[in-house]
Amino acid sequence: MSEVRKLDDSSEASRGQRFMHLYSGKERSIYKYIYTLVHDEVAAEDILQETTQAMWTKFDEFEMGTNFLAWAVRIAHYRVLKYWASQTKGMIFNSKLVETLAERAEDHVHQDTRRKMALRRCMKKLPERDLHLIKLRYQEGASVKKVAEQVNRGIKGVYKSLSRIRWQLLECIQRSLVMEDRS
Amino acid sequence: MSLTPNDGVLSELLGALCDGSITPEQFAQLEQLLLDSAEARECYVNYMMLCGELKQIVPACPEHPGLPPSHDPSDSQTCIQELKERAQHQPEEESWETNARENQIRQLAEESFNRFKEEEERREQERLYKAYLARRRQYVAGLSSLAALLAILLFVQFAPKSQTPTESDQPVALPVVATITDLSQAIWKDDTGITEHTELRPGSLTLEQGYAELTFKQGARVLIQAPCTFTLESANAMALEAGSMTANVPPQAVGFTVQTPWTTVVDYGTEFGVSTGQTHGAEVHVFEGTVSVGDETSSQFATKGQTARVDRAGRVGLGSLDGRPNLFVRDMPQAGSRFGIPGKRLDLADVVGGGNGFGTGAPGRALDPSPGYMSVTTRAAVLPRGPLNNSGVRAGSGYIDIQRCPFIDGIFVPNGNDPSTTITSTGLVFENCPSTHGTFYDGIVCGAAFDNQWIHPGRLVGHQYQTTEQPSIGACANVGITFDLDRIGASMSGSVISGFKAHCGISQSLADIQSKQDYAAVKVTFWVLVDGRVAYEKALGTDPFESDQIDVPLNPGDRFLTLVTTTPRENLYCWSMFAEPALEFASK
Repeated sequence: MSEVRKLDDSSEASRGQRFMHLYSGKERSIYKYIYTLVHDEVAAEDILQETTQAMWTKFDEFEMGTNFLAWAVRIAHYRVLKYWASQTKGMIFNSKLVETLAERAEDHVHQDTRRKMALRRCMKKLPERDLHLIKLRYQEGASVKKVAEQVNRGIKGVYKSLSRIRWQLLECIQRSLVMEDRS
Repeated sequence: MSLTPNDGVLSELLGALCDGSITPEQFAQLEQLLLDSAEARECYVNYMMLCGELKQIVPACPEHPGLPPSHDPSDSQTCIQELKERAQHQPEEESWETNARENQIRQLAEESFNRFKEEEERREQERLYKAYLARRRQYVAGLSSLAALLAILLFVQFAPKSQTPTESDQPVALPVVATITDLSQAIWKDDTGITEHTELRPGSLTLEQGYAELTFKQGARVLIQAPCTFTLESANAMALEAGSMTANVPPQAVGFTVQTPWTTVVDYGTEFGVSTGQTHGAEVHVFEGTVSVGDETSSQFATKGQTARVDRAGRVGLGSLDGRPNLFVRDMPQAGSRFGIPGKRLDLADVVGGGNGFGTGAPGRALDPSPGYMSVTTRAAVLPRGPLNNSGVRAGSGYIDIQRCPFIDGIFVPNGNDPSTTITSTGLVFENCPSTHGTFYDGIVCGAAFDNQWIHPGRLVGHQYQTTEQPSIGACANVGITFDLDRIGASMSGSVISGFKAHCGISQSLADIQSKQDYAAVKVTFWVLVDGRVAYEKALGTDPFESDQIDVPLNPGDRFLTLVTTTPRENLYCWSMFAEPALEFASK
């Protein structure tokens, strides 16, 4: 009890490095988890910021060697709940539903890699016009209105197209995974 | 995800949700679909995750997002081409976005840390000091040192370049962590100049006599009882090297920690007492709420009404407060209101009353040395007696070992006619014990009072002795009581018992109810034995009323102190008592 426990690394600049090493590559998954539950891109970004800050602050509590993503998801989950609690109006899911969705979302987040690869394969198969639309829609600062202007189409039509394209991608991913499992 | 009739609807709703065009009615519809179907929920999660993924891979396209939307088909073509090419690569090759992201993250981390650093500056200083302490003391918990070390090193890493790293050997200006809020007959080691309202910074103090109350910055209120050596560590933590204290912790100070050489006590919103010493580990009594007792590897919770005893190996055992003597003073006594002064003298009458010698006992409590009766009774429980013709008298039978009061070894009825009179739990005997009738009245009482209705407080030399300021032990012949000086001494680490003092005699209040001819012949012999050796012996009578001063020096090796009263005749009107019975201490 008299000896101070030795640290893992000799220099402490590595705390920041260790954090980044663990964090980068996971940031996406954490964002997706949050977005799935709050279905609002702006709110999801804010909550991601808060979560990252909290993770940095609490980094000493993280046990090296354990699942960093799972730890991060827990912290994000708490903040999602706080967000919901602070939303007095707007469209809020029933809280039991949120809990159920959160469980499913966490599972997904842990299987991310396969789905990401499947998504890339599926995107290659999209007609160029559709891919173009997706690219415009998901640019920084994009809005469907702007996209509609850019492609010179009616807004309703653009909504419908985007919806269809994403659904197609989803189906494609699913088939791709099933085929993988079979082979 | 198989096709269901709702697919079209679900697809439309999800699209609307992701693009921000969903109406409240549509939202409600979506919610219902999700509640009803696990498949729909699966779909939802997949879809949302997809949208999230798209949001992240698309903007990282090499084309600068800030550029005005270009209608040049070739531009879009290039981008699409790029996108297709990127999409062909394995996800692991994400280096094209890693740098930008890494910088973002680093910046975010530094911003966060700066904010954190500003808020935590005061706590940083305290942790620095903790680390400094850790190098000097043997029993600081490893964890807090680790946090401190990390804090120091982080501080070094992120401090502005112009600042030189702080040498942890020289603590920075220490913050005030507690204030003295009350004192009672307090004498400190090394004249500290401490008075009420003195502000205290982290450091060690030794209280040699009396009481001191400290209030920590975060709200915990601590009553220290002499003799006591302790260290203030931070606004919400302290270490107790030896001695006793009580803590009262309000909600804002939950987590208040007391570290002893053997264990750590963490408070969860309570009132508790901690006592520790070199020889006997630590003892924690919980009066309200909950505490945890232990170290990083294992700890137990103790709640209201429980005690936790910790041995020197750090093992924790839980017990009950019931019947345990009131070890801890919970409120600052008013000046002069108590005969016992911690570090100076211990009131043995208070010990008879179940207290710790400093006023926590109950007056009227009596110890009953006869078999078949509870060995500890209170005034109310004593059976009413008949007229003074022996119907209330009881006989003793051997030595009664009192387990529940650590300071009292046992009680007995002295009778030389018995084969031998045992006077300690270790088997020591009262050799040459005089013959008595082997009977007694009332037992050994905290606060001498006599007569059927207990209305005659003991009186010697004109003084009435029945209060906490002027206490007494009622000892109607024939009774004996043995105190365990070892246990008493252990609880007063830092002090040595130097002697026993008292006044003894037959209460003058006898004259209030009886006529002289009835009691003139009464004679009681008062004895003080130390480990079975007679150190004092005096026969005192009532005509005239006699009393005497007892002054028996004690040495460190002495373990048992026995007080006895005997009378050769029938024990009528033997209103014998010891007044202001005190164990005196000297500093080591």
